[in-house]
Amino acid sequence: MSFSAEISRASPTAILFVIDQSTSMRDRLQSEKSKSEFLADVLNKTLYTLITTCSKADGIRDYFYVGVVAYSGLDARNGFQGILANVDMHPISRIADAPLRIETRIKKVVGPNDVLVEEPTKFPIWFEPQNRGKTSMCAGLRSACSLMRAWCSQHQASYPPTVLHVTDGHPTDGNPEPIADEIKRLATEDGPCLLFNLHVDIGGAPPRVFPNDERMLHDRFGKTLFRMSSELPLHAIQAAKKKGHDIKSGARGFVFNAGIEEIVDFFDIGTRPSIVSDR
Amino acid sequence: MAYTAEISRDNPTCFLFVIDQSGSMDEKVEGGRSKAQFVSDVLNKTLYTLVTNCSKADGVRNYFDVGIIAYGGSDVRSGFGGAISGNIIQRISDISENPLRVEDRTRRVDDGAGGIIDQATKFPVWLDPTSSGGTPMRAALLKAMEVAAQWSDQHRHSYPPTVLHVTDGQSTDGNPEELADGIRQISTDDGQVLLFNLHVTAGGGQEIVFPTSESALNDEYSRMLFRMSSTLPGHLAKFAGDKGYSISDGTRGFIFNGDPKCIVDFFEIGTRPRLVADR
Repeated sequence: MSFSAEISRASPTAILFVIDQSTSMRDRLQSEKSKSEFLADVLNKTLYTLITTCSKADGIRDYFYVGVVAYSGLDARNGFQGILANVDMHPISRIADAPLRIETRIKKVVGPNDVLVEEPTKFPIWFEPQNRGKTSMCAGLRSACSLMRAWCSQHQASYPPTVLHVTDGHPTDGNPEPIADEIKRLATEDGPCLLFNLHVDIGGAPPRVFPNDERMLHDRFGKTLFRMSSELPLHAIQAAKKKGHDIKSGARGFVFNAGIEEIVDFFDIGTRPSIVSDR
Repeated sequence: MAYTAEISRDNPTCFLFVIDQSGSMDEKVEGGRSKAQFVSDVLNKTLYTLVTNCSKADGVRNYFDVGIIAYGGSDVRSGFGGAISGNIIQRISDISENPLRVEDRTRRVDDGAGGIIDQATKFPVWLDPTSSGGTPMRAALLKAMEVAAQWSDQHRHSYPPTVLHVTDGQSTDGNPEELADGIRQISTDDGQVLLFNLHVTAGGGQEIVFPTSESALNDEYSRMLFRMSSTLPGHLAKFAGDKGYSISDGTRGFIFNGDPKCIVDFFEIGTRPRLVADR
């Protein structure tokens, strides 16, 4: 059975984020942040959550290797800066050691009588929002493909890699579908590489969350992204159901027209391969 | 050119919602709510959005006259209650002051640190869901025709009324097509009354959104609803296109087998005449 490998230090898995940094990512979401700012927040929080998941009494265990590919203009690049910018895939402990800085954020939390109150919280930053240039999605996915090909060949016994691709628009450098197909053909002995796609929208259009039928999308590019997306494996289905999503058979790891709620859910559900050993 | 009148306090426009409350509207859609509950939720939210659009520093400006015609059983009635239950058509400022009640609900907001949190919010309710009896669609459209004709006589310079009809089934009091034709023949100097039809389903069945020809439809009932529907005027077609629907010349304001997400879009697109004056 696929997707059943235990994730352990001896057999870690890979999570690769592929982030669109084109100009349109400047558009404001309903929360008033730009798409790129909000996504950077969610990505930074996701990295922090992964680190927390791997933190044990004896330190941070390297269950995960994590990378970020950012694309815009004509090419794609490592989305990390500073000392993480030199290598593409990092063990989670190295990421834990190397945030760019720690910000103090004002966070809304539930206070007494269920009233929201604001309190300062430490917020480590690894990834900075950027938004400039065209949508070089093919370059981004090609880079992801070569990174994951190398990773799979070195980790044949591992749970297969998860690629989380986030975009808000149409590619300006060709048809990404064949490259997505190539990513989905990469495999470890435990199954094919997972490619999940998140299409973000400034709000207005209702989101389509984990659709199981291409006909549920009216938009031509939405249909393409649907076909580019892997079916959700069991652990992701369980995580999605727990969040109240109605998951039908054959549901894809794809959200179209995501607003802030769906963005947060997508990152959470997409980065949840089960850690069962080593505990 | 039609549908270009500026909407102002001197020249308001009119929205008339015609809502099927027959017994079958109690079927459950996604998330366990009935069609009737979902439709009334969307309608209440739409009314609140209309109120918000008219709210300026000096109060709620009467850009819109709004009516709800609810039908089910042997009855056609105003969907408003309390002080605004008399005439079908009410001014938006009076609607703003007379919800049945204001409910406490929650919505998801950015927590400022890469997450989301529930925030309490007020939700005014004007229409409660009910569903019983047959589907007197003819009687309802006859009422809509009377109301739209009277309003148009009194507002010759205005952007013409928009009638949004929501149903889930077949008429039980005869063929409604001639009445729909009658409604669309009413006009102001700015153009003919717009009649948009939304057919909702509890699931199953291929949804058909904003079709351009009858040949896209495979039964006589849906073809009749198609013929009953106005062509989307240019600015609404453009708005629907911006939402990702494929739109071409002659696209009708008609959705068949609409799921909850289509329902939201239908209301949003149908209530979007340009507000340009008085700003």
